[in-house]
Amino acid sequence: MNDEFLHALRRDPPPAFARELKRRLDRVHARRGARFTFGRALLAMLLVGGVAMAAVLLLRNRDEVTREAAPIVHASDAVRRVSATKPLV
Amino acid sequence: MDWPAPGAADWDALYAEHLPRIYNYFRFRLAAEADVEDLTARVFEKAWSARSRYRRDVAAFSTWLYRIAQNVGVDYLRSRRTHAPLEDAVEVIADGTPEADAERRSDLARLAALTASLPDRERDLIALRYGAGLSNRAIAPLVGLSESNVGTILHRTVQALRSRW
Repeated sequence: MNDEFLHALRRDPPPAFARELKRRLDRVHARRGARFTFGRALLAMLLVGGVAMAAVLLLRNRDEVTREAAPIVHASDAVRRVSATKPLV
Repeated sequence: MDWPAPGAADWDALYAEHLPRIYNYFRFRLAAEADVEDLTARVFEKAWSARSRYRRDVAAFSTWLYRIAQNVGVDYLRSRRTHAPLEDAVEVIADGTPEADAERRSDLARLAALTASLPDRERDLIALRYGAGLSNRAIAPLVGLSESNVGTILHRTVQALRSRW
């Protein structure tokens, strides 16, 4: 018994087994690839949606601040105007 | 042995290269021809499923793949609890002349009977070296030994087997 003898005990896997396994692996990989693509698309959509929603909220918030700030300025002007015209008793 | 960069690996080529190696690793290591095919398939399915998680900077592709094979083998042996002798495995599907197949079958059965008495590590070394056809250098990280230790243990083991042949 020597190295050559031991190596000679090897044999190739049955071709039908090799073909079938390869077919299965290709199928598994394709399925995983499709799932990965779908996952990436979903993530991208969520990201875009999130950014869009954040932008809308930000803009709406800014509008409200502007709207709330404007009457206060006018009201104080009016009070000042009224108090200026009315004589102090 | 040269291993392609897995980042740009040609997985078809890797399959063609390693299928016979993994298959023969289990033939030398375990029992039952049907189980050899099943275990080989399990190794490749695990590896293919984890393709994206394989990290080249952590381990060479060979180390990664044969580590999976070793784990699959250990799980299998654990689930069976008993080591069936390898001669049970040698229901060889004919791929040569009937005489050559019969001779090879009886040689492998005889080797199996001899290696059955070896410690687990030595059986694994024999399977990695002569079944998978790995070099001592490639085997070393798989068994946690230095390259020279692998060579020494293998030499001693083959000598012991030869004396009992």
